[in-house]
Formats: sequence, C-alpha cells, structure tokens
Amino acid sequence: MSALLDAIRKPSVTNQPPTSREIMRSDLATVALIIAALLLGLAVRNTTLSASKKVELEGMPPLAIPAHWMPGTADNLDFYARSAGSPSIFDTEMAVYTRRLRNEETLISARTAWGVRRSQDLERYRELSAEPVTVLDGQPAALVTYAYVADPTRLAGAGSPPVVVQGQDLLFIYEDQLVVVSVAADVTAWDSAQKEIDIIFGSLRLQEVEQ
Amino acid sequence: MQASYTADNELNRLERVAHNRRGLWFAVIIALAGLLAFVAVFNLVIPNFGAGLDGVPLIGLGLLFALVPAVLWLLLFYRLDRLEPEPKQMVFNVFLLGIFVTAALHAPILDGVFAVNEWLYANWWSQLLGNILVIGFVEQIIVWGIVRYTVFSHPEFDERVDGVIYAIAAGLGVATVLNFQYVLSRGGVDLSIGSIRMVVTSMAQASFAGVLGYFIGQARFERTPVYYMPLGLTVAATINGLFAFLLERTSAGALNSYPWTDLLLAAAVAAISMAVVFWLIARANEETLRLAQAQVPAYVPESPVAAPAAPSAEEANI
Repeated sequence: MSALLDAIRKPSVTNQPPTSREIMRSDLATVALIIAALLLGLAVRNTTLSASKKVELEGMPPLAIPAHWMPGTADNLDFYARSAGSPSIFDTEMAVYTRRLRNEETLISARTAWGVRRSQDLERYRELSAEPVTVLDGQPAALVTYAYVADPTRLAGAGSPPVVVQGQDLLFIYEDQLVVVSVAADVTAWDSAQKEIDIIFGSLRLQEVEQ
Repeated sequence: MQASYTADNELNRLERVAHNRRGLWFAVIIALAGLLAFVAVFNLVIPNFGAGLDGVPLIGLGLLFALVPAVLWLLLFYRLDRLEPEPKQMVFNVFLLGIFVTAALHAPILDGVFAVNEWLYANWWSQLLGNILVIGFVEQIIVWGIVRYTVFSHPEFDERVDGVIYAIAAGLGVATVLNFQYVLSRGGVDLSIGSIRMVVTSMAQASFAGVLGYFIGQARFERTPVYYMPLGLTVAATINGLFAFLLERTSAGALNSYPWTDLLLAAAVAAISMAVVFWLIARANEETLRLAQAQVPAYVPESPVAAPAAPSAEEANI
C-alpha cells in the first residue's frame, strides 16, 4: 500500500519531464484502458439485458422473463410483469392469460374469439399480422401482431399524450387450456425491447413455421 | 559558465513545477463554503423563491441556477488565486469546451450507445458496474480528453497544480451540462431542491476532476510509468461511479431522494478528495525540490564544457 502511495506521490525520482515518446506511450495505454472499460461496460449491459428469471405458473409450461422486470398484479390475468427501465411512459410489459377450452374449440376459433375481444378492450385496436408458429415441442400456435392507443398517465391525472402501443399475442393450447402470452411496448421502443421479448418467447421455444 | 546558466534554468523550471499555491487551496475551501451558502440561501432564507413561476420563466431561472456553481467556483479561483492565476481565457475556454463536449457526447453515448436507462437499475451489480465502467469512465474521459488535447502541451501549463485547475474547469463544464439536462428534462425544477441537486453535481464533478487533474499534472512533469495515467483515470472514474451508486442506492425505494444527505455526502467527498489531492501535490512538490537541490549541482549540459563531478548520494542528502 505504501509502495502504491509512493508511486502515486512521486512516480519518478529523476525530476525529468517525459519525452514525447513516453507521452505517446501513456496516451496509448490510456486509450487502451478506455476501450477495455467501455467494452466491459457493454458486456455488463448485454449480460443484464439477456439475464432472465424463471416463472412457474400452474398449468403452464415454464416461462422466463428478463431478470430486471418486476412482476405485478392485474385483473383477469394469471401473470403480469413490466420493465421499470422503459424509456417511454408506457412500460414494456408482458401478461399471461389462460382459460379452459370450450366445447369443440380449436386454436383457430379461439384465436378468432380472442381477436374480437381485443378489438373491444383496446382503443383503436388494429391487427397488423398473424402467422402460424410452433411452441414447445412443435405444438401449433398463432402469433398475432397488433397496435392500439394507450393512455397510461390518464388515471394518474397527468397530462402526457396517449401512446401508440405495439403488441404481440402468442396463442397456443396446453393441457386443455388456451394460453395467451402477450407482450406490448411503446411502438417507438419496440425494436429496443426485442431482446427482452425474445427472452419471453424464447423460453417457450417459439419457432416460425416454414411455408 | 554555460553549465551553471543551464543548471539555473533547470532549477527555475523545477521550482516553477513545484510551486505551491496557498491562494488556490484557500479558493477551493471558500468555493465549497460558497456553494453550501448558495444552498442555504435558497432553502432557509428564501425557500419560496420562484414559487409562482411556471413554464419558460421557471426553466430559464433553473438554467441560470445551473450556471451558478460553476461561475462561483471559477470567480473564486481568480479572486483568491490572483497573484499567479492561469490565463483567464484558457481556463474559461477549457470550461466552455467541457460544456460543448459533454453536450455533444454525454447523452448520445449513455442513452444512444449504452441505453443505460434500460438496464442500469436492473440489479445492484449492474448499477455498480454500469456507474463505474460506463458513466464514470465516460465523464472522466471527457475531462481527460479536453485537458490532454488542449492545454497539456501549452507553455502556460507549467506547474504541477495546473493539472488540477484545468481538470476542475473541464469537470465544471460537465457538471453544468448535467445540471442543464436536469432542468430541461423536468421542464423546470423546484429551486430549493434544485439548488441542492446542482451543488451536489458540481461539487462531485469538481472533486473527481481534481483527482484526475493530479495525475495529469504528474504525467506532464514526471517520467511516469506507463500505467500511471490509466491508473489516474481508473481512480477518478471509480470514485465517480461509486458516488453515483451511493446516491442512487440511498434513495432507492423511496418516492423522493434525500437531498440533504446527498449534499452532505458530496461535501464530504469534495473535502476529502481535495484535501488528499493537495496533500499529494505538496508532498510531490517537496520531493521535487529536494531532488532538485541534490541533482542540479550535478546537472550535465549538452555542451563541451566539463561538468562538475556528481555528489554522492550521502552528500546530496546533507
């Protein structure tokens, strides 16, 4: 410790100023340190963003959500979590909804009924695309991409303008239940939230179906 | 004759490098006290100042407040260090450059490249490492870059302590932009709480920059090992990151942060780091002068004149 303090206090015992070559060497070492520190910072960022935690829900396959998301509660939902670090006033969020299958209900009819319900619940709901996918061990599923308008600060009395939200609903049948896993984010933050969404859908082994 | 002339020059150079500026140390103490007085005035004497303001006037007043700590600090440097001040224009230019470079790089790097708000607060270790490796380093890189690539090789940079002066000027530029961002992002601020926050930022940034400035000053006048400047940058960035981490953790989970606690912490960090920097500079200056007195009689000029014999180590220490 005292050697380090001595080195900090009086790094040389010659009283000579550094040569231009020594200054350049010091600059190069400093730049190398800067690059190393920022790359480490980037690694911490990527590790944090890709870290996940498992969520065990009854009658549901194991699900993962980003480690920094906070679980919460919401009416009529089996599970809800949101990212506290969202850049928008609309926090990037996910929700799980399950219900028993009705008589002779199939994935296609359930998906149609779900779309109607969404259009009634969400303001200015618009379906953007729907594609067949598979989850878990090749189980058929449907991935619906949509947009709507949300007003997250209205209830709190704040005056922020409404937000256009983009969402995706993943619908599949699991143990005689319809399972809907939804993700939603401010449309301007959708691309940056993709890594977090991939953690959720990746834990269900979502695969595209080759046409 | 030429040998003694050159030796005198060398002695003069070293005396200049090792010059202790009592007025500067006093200026720093008064600056810290002045900042605390600034906070006291707007929290205890006229706590409702600006209470009726809204919109643009509130933002304008907030921006003026954001400038006060830096202006106060720079003015005191000149009033109390007036016997041998650095060129006013150079110090002011470094401060301005600190503002411009921070405005140009700080937010684009932290929000654009690293998107810190998306992950920094995920857990304690990402908060600690992110504050040091990303926020601390980016802010201290700005200070180092400005001093290193503007005034470092200038003839006016002729004393060890100049590293501290110019680095603090650049650090105050960083602090001013952070304070501007604080005001603008909130559309104006409560001026009593806002003044505390601005003083905390200014004191903290000046302290981190002061530590870095010490290393810059040493690297300018000493043949330092290759790890020396990187070590200085790491120390300054680590203190910067730890300070931000502590502030964030002490306010975590609460609806409001604790501004007075933050102020006490910032004042303590500023006082301790400045005291350590000044002590280190004083010791280094003593060592430089001691060595100079021992070495200069043996100074060997680049001339055909025969140099006097070098004294032995024992003689030199007498």
